[in-house]
Amino acid sequence: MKTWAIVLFALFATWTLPAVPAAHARGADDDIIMEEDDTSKPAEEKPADGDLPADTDPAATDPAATDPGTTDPAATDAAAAVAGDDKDTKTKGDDEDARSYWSDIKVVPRKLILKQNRIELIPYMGITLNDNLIRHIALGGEFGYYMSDAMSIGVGGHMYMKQQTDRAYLTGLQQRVLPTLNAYLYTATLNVNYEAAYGKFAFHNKKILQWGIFLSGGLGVTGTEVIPRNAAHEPWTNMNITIQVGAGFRVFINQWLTLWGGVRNYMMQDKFENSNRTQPDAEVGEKNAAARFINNIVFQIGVSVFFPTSFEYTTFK
Amino acid sequence: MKKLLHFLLFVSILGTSVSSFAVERGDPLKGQPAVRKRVLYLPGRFEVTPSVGVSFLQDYRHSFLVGAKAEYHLNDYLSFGFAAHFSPLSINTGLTDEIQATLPNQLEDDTWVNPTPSKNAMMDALNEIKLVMGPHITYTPAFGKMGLFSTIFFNFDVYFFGGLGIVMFEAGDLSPYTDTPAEYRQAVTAGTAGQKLHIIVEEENGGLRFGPQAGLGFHFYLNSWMAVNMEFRWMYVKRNAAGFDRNGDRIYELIEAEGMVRDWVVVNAKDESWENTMFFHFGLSMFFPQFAPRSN
Repeated sequence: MKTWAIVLFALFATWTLPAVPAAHARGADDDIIMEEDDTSKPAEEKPADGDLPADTDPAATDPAATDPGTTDPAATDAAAAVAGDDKDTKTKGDDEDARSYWSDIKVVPRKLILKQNRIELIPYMGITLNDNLIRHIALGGEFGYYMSDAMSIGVGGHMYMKQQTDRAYLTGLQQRVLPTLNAYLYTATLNVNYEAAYGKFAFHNKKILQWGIFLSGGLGVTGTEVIPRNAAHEPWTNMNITIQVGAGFRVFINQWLTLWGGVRNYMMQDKFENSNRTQPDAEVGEKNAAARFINNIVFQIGVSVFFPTSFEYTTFK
Repeated sequence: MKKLLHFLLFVSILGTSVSSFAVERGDPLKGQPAVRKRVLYLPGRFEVTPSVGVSFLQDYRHSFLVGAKAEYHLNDYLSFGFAAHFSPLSINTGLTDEIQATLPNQLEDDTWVNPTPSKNAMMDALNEIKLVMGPHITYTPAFGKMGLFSTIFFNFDVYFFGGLGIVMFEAGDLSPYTDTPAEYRQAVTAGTAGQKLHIIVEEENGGLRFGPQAGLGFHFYLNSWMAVNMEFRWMYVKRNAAGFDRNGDRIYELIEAEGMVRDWVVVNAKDESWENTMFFHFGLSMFFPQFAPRSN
């Protein structure tokens, strides 16, 4: 007796449990059916072609013949919904399952990354672009806080490593003139960045990546050091107020990581050794320094990391 | 009886597994293209792009360019073409102006002691870019859509290209400012020696130069057959931009009238070096036929 009870209970469980997830799915389908009931006409009325969504087949009236990928208000005939025909029920179930899959696909999906109230860290390296005689490699980083999804404020800076080009040597050899050069030491700025453009691109029509273009502005300081033409003179340093303007782009890899690049112009009034080379020592040279307005254009590339590394949408899809 | 019960239990469990599998959802997008019904701007179309351009990262002269590019797109990703641009105008760089400001107005009387070139000698020795051209193959891996200030929306694609770069330089001319050993002997004899640089130009710094070229560009589509085209082009060619000697090679001549051996610096192809030459082009791409189909 006990054995019979156990077996009957087991049979009951195995035959009824699979229906639970199916019922859940069909419950979602019930949502679909409710939407169709909201928009469809009564069963005897056939809606005009122009009222149907682009992916529906206005000619389909037989639920059994309906393409699983389409919706047809006429197929929700109440008589068909209560028909005891297993074949019709099974086909309708397949149609509803298929419709539930496609309904999850939105025409305009959500942005991959939301940035508001998140912190961004950007380690980068750079190279100066616009000086023929001395090139600088820059290593640094930027820290920013996003007040909104488009605008951030932050602080950034980098150190420079100088590298005199061949042209600096050849200018002396060929034109018999010795250029006066300054080496950049560091730059530090307070920045405001604004994401002006946002878009997507498909790589080989398979992988979709999202990207944005930002504009940047800032104020800070740049330290420079003269490279004395007389090797016996000690170099002296300047600290120059710097205005930064620039633009850049980022490509979103996932919710917390992007590839980042930009071109920034650090503008300042710098002091150079005077071209009149009669100064007896560095101190006199510094007093007679010649001021020049400088555009220091730097190409920067790096990765940006967002914290917290994840986020949740608070609105419905 | 027990066997029958066990058999029924087994069949029920088996049926449960099958039903569970049937409830799993598949992804209808798996294996599908990322974008459907997109405008096929490229496949099987011929592109003509008139454009203007400018060189940058140059030492002495920036050249402004006018020309065009012709390209045939085999499919969505690959194309081949040829671009040619002529430079009607060049301007000094900041470095050139700085150097000129420090040079004397004319050559020294005794250029054996002070061979500093004059302002005009320095300028006339420079070579200038006159023609930039070359065949290339283009790879267009990505296309997309973007919104500018959430107001203007347009399609775009990005491409990379590489090929053979050909640059024609207009040679500098140092002849008004230099003398050869024979000319110097005559001048010494005539008592008019002086104010000449002692340089022998065996090979001028002009002519065609060949090297690799590469770059990347963007099309921003205005409609189905026109697009704004922006392109960065890099070429690596050998040149002697300044027109003077750089390796110190020279020849020695006995000047009998002075009883001294003098040396003349030699300028030739050995004074050339490989240099990066970069350009930015901005143009309007036109595609033919003008009709662009849509994908499935």
